[in-house]
Amino acid sequence: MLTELDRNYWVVGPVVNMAAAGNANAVAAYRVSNSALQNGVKSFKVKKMMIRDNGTGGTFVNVGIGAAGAVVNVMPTFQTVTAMDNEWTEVEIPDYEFFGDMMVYPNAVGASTLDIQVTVEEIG
Amino acid sequence: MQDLMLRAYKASIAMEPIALRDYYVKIITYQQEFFRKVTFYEILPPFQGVNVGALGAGVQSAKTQITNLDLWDNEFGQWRWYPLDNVQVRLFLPSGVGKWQLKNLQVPLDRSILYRDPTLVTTEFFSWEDQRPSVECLNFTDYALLASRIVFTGYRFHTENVTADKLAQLKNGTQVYTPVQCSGMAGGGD
Repeated sequence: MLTELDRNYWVVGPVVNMAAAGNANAVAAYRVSNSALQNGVKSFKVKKMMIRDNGTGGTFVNVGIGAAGAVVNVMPTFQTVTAMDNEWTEVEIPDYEFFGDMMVYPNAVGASTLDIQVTVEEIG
Repeated sequence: MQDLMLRAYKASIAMEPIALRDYYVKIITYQQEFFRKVTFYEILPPFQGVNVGALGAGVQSAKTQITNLDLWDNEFGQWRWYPLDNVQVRLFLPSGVGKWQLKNLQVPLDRSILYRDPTLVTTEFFSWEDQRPSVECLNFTDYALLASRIVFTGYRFHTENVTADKLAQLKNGTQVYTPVQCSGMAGGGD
């Protein structure tokens, strides 16, 4: 069983707006720490995720890795309810370890947008 | 008392003073070695010793002296520490000498130390009087940090000179003492 001592430190990412739908418009919800001066390789796992659907009519948000336009999903899509706060925590999010930026994009935005913010556990 | 000479480097133990009252220590600084007798010590609860300040993404700070670790004359400190903010920290003691220096790497410390080494035993170092350490903080993340704070805890020990006859015993090996390395060590040689 995971104890507090087994956990690495948690970091809160920025609020990121998803203004346009489609893989080509993917944005980074969290960027991996990767300074050229650092010692070691850093990675992270998503522990909390909040998506505010500002009024898209409801959509699915893809989470993956890779450059915008070539993002490969690393977990199932997350369905949002329009005009609602949509929240997932550790037990609901797959334990995928990101070695690159966490890229996100919605399938549709209607005439609106979505905001996403994640809390991650940095490893390494 | 012999066991005290190794105690600071045993794994995963809570912090204990390296010497007790009336114990003899050999202070080893970068340039000098001398014997002292501990007259008293006191514990120092965890405190914020330095804030190197805000750092942009990927920025490394200037080398910053930790003046708050300065001690009075005739005193040495025993320290364990960890960064509060998401930085990698390199330690220098004194400022011109890297601490934890390998041949190809100066080992840094970041917040992962709190789960890898919860007692912080591997962060332990010693300082003599105001021969203070310095740190460089690297913001290895992709976001700006508003502060680079470091927390210290430990002990301060007050010492006095040893008498001439006791000094002779310390030097000829008939009086046990605890060596206290109060600086980094330059590498080199075969």
